[in-house]
Amino acid sequence: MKKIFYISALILMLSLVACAPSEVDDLFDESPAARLDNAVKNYTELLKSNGGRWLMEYFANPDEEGYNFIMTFHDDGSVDISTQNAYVNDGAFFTDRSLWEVVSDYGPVLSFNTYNNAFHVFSSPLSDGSGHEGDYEFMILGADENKIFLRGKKSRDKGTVIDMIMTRLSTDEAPTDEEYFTNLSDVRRAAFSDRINNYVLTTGSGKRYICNDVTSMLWSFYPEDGTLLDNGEYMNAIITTKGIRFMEPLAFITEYDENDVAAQNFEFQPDGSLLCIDDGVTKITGPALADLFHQTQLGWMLSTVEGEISGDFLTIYNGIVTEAKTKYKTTFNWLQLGYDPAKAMYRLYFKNGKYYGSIYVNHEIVNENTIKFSFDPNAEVAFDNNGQNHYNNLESMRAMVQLLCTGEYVLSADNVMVSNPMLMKSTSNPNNYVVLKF
Amino acid sequence: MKKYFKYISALALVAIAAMSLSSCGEKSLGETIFPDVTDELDPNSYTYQFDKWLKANYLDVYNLEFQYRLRDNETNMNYNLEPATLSNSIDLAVLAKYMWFDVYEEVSGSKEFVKMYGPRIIMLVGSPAINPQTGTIIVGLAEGGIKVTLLHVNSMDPNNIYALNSDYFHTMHHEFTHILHQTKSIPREFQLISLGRYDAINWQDRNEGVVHSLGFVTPYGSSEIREDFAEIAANFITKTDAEWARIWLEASRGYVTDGDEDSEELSNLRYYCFYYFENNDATSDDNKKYVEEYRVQQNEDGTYVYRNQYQKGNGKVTLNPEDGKYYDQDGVVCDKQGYVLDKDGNRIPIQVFEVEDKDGVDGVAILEQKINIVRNWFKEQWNLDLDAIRAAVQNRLTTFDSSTLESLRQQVYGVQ
Repeated sequence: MKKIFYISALILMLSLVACAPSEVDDLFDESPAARLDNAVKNYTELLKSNGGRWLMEYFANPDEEGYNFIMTFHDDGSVDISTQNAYVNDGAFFTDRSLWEVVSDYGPVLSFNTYNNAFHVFSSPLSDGSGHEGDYEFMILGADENKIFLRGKKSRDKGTVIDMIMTRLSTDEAPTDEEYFTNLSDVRRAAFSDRINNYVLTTGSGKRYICNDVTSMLWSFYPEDGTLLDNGEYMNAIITTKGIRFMEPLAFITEYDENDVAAQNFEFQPDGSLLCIDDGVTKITGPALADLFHQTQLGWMLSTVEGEISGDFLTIYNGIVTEAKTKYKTTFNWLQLGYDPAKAMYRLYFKNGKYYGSIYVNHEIVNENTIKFSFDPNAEVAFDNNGQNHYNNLESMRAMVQLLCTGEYVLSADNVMVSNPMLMKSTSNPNNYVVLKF
Repeated sequence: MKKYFKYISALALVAIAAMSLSSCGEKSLGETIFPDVTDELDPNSYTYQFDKWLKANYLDVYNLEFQYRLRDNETNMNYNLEPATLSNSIDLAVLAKYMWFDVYEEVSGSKEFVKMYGPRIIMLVGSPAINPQTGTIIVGLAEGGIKVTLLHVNSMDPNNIYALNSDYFHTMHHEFTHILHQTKSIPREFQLISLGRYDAINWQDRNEGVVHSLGFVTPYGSSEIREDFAEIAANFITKTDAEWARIWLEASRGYVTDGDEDSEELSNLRYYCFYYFENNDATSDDNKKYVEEYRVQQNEDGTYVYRNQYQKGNGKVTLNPEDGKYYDQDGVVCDKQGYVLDKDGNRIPIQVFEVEDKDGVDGVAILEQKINIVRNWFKEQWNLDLDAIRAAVQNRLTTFDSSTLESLRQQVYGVQ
């Protein structure tokens, strides 16, 4: 009986509360449907405005690099999409026209809803049904005049959040779509090198992470005092003409607290390095120059081009040429300081007439920018036959070895990302330098 | 008394609740929250001509929305799918009307039949839906008698009418049959014919000839009753006489495999309708070999031989200088290459025999029975002459050429 009374009283109270006139003004002037309709109209206008040309930085999934598309949205509902990537038109530049719409769905959604040969390959199934799993419909999360923030709709529904950005592209920046992609190829080629390992990400506090697989844009990271196996992190990225953007913020950088902006967007700097524009301090550079010199996959070439060899190096080199002419009756062709993978050592490698020869030297890293060499003619690996012959017969060749193995050399480069060429200058006599290239 | 009090209390509770609800109803509803939507077409739109044609030929006539713009929330998210190209969408729109809607109009005498029973939505998808687990490919779907989805649109070659027929027109009639039987059910007698012989799991690996001999028109038709029904109707309508002749022939044959049906993957098994005895030696079953049909040649008397294969003599061939003939070591007359010669001096072909039909199913009779049931069902339930539908489709197929497609396209591209 009591229970029935209480329940009746509760219903009565709730009813009174529910029926009380609302004294709270509506938060919005319009209904949700009208607001959504307005958002659809506004985003449609934004996309078409000022020539309607945008750069979409697109990620199909977390396991492959991002791809750039230039999209020009037309008033008539068509869109021209340009790209240059390995999956379209055999890697050559390509443009195609299809349809676009901003539709009401999960909020405003940008949809590319007819097939575009430049774009939809990332949504298509392969013959076994698998595929890139890429989106062709994008929730619009927000925008300003020059940026639109998107989220892949289907991938989100399947449990993967992929946020993307569209940036307005002016003709000043890229007169034509094809020029943009040509420029992008050049930037990409210059920005990184397949031959360099162990790029370095340095955080604001100075913590350093070793980065690899950068040219594929499938970056791996591990702390300098850790290993890839134990502490490895992976993140895919996209490269544009301005820099790179990781698909997600680099959350493994633990020094960020919840108020910080984690590093995700990096811009190229004049010295070739990448500076994080989210926190303004995190930086990506190439390895220390001495490390780079030490990296065994590189073969440094000692340039003998005028202006790239100086001081005693030039004098002695000219002496070798003269002496070879006198003693061997040959034309001395070139001299390199190169890495011999077979012996795993650096060598002075030369060609005199039709003869090739090697004189092997040891190198030692003094500090991150300084190296020094040593030579022991009695070591197990000191020469090959021609190397020994030239070392014994040419005084200038011995002088060159002596010069190289005297004192220390400081390394420097204009580009700290791909440090090629690199200047190797004697610490005791700055006039003695050579330019090294790989 | 206590019991009555409980009832009274409960009644009071309901009354309070009812009063509470009614007291909330004084506020007027006000204006609609939904914005004004116009269905007027924009003459400046890139697709104005197509949209106007679709409105005039599908929406206004059949109350049907032809969705050529893909929205992924109307698809199965588990598949990787791509939208259809605009050009193929236009081609398929005009062809669907020509080979499907117009055919039913021609046979039924008006547009009313399709308007009444046809789909409300046709949706196009550029790619097929491929199941990564099974490898099965979906090229068409019919949902709830309302919506037909045509997939694989981007692979369409509009100039190859027979590929269009098998890949798309067949799908249209297949899916439309689904819509019809979702309205009026499949006859019970049809449902009983092949009961126990369907394979919903491995149908895609079944051999086409084998399923014909079991009374199915396609492997897909052997997956379940409703697909069997739709496949019978769609194939009866769209397959040419030559294609049907082939089906009848294969349905009449026996099949055998040289693999192990119990242990090997169904898709790996090879089936044969013919066998021969090595060197025509039928004295032992060990000499029995199976041979593919393309190696078999039929004689005028209806018997079969192994193409370009002949009986060989035994052992070394020697020339008898007395009669100038060659003999094998058993004294049988041969030619110089050792092939046995008959009394007219001709090589003796290897005889080929048909594999005995041991499946216990008369495939031809069953197919005929199924076609008759479907034919009667169309007549009795829908007042439609299935043979007339087939005749109309076949007529359109045989008279179709590039000018037909061009004139159909012109319906769209000529829109003012």
